[in-house]
Amino acid sequence: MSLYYADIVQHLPLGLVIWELPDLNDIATFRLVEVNAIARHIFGLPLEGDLSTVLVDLKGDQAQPFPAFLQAESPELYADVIRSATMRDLGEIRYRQPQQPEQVFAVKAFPLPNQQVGAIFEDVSDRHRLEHALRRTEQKLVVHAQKTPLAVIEWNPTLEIIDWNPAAETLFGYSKREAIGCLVTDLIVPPDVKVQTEQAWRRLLIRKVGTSRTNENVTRFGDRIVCEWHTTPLVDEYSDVISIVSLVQNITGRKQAEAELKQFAAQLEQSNRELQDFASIASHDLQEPLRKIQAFGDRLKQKYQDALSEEGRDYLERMQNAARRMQELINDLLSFSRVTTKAQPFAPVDLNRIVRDVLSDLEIRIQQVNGRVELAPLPSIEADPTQMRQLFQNVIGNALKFYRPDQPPIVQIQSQILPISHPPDSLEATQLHSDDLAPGTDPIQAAAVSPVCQITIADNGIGFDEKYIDRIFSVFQRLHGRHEYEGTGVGLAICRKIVERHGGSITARSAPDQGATFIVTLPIHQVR
Amino acid sequence: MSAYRKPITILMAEDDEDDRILAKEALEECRLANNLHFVANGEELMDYLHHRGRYADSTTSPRPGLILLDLNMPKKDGREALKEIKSDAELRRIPIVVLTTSKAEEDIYRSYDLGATSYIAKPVTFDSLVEVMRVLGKYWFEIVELPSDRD
Repeated sequence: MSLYYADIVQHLPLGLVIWELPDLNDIATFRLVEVNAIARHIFGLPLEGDLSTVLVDLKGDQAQPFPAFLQAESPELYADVIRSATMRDLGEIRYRQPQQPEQVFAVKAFPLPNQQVGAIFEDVSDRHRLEHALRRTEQKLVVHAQKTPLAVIEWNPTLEIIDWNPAAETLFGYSKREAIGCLVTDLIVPPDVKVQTEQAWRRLLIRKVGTSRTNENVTRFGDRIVCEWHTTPLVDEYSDVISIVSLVQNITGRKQAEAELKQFAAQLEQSNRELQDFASIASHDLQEPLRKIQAFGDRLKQKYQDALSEEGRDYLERMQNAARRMQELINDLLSFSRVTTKAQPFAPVDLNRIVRDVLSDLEIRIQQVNGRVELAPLPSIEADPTQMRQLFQNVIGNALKFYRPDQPPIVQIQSQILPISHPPDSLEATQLHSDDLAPGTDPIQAAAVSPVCQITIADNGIGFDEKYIDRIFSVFQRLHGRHEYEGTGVGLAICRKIVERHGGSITARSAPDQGATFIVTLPIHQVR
Repeated sequence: MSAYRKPITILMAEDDEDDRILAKEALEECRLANNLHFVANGEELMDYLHHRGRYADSTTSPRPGLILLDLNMPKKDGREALKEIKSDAELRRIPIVVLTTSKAEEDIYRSYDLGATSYIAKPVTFDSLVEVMRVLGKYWFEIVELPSDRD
């Protein structure tokens, strides 16, 4: 070989090996003629020097012209190349050197003069790995497209469907075979929105960016459905759109539920507003005639008392009592509706101060009934100060009202911080759960947002049967006759409305003649 | 102290007949009803003060020394009438006591802003109405000095 060609061989970016087979019928006579630098590198051979000794050394006994990984079948194949004088593609050979990633070589053997054969080894490992990864990705995509509950539709720039997965079959009612080749706008777009849908898709083809939009579609069976289309154009290296892939989700049910929910919320708001309007208008407008009844009753009594019989005066008395009572009911209804209409913003409130103020207002009452209120330290919380005052005024006032004749009232007010946040569930608020008293019993709620404080107001009074628990927190519900205890039965309803506005709850535990314990739970911080 | 004082005219703007009767009776109770006149809405009130129409004769419709004003009235309500009177150079010296069922804070603020002299929520019982009238009469007709009529 001339030096020039020898140089080319050595620098060839391919492994090149040349063998000679002196006796065409005996592969044992194979002899290595040339191994270029790349081939030496591939086979892990010394880069310089006479290879016959190295190969002998490697094998241990006699010179082996073929590297170990070619040993098994190759000699016969290479012999064939010489005998037939034709080039052969020997395919891919995998080879793994110790501690190295597997390598893959494309091998071609070609005949040379003088009973020689050459073989070129092209390292195709990288391409191989890439292809492998691509295949995996593709398989994965196919599986995803087949199994996903989303309809997957692929269509070309002329809006012809080119792929259609099983979910698309289910959603739209057309099989893949029926769908492919159809125009997507003909198949599943209702005629009345066809033009605008086409426009939207043409814009997509021009802008070449993915979009998500809600479209109205129609199924094979003529059903109108609302779908969310997540659409991505696939572009080639020249940024030309090859095809468009859409993931389609049927959101008809969701839309319907949303609409129903919205309508329901609107109705609720409307009825709440009406209720509030009713409460405040009724309160104001009912006051007017009532005031007249009272005023003219007063006039009647003052000017004509003597003209009336005993019975007549009694009637008048009863009429005026009823009017007074009506006045109380209206005033209480008004304060009940004011919990929401006259709500003030939440601010830091020291409950100790609130309760001390309340106690000072109730001082005369406490003295009258010879009672005692024991107050443990209370926390500061975010709340409406006026409403907190109203809350404690009502609950403590009740404790001082419903005492047992033989026992002066003792009211104990205590509090503790609970790390959990009770859901502001209005049903919960009026139902008794023994768990309510045990902090931290529900680990699921432990992660909830804000700590809450639980304040208990316990008395030693007449108590009540717990089966009336729902009743005592409702408007105008009373457990006692008006002649036994005064009041309209709105106090605890106001309390409940106040704590619910604060995201808290109120409940009670009691038994007849066993006293009552009211449990108020309020968040320390208000969610903004 | 002012026995020779000319009796002062009270003008009450009130659309509710019942309330007019009650007010009249309450004022009678404290002997203040001798010069009591009524109008039923804001328009009538302005007509009276400007001697228009049936109030043209100032001997039968004398300039009031005190106006008792209801806020909620048909046609022209008390708020509008109050505003007009207080922006009229001739009339603005007449003290105006708002006497209304409304306890709404915005009505209270607004009335004082517009120049009302006092704001009183109508008492519920007749006795307290009499008491209110008595105190009003004593205050306006015995205690304070009012500017002399230039009408």
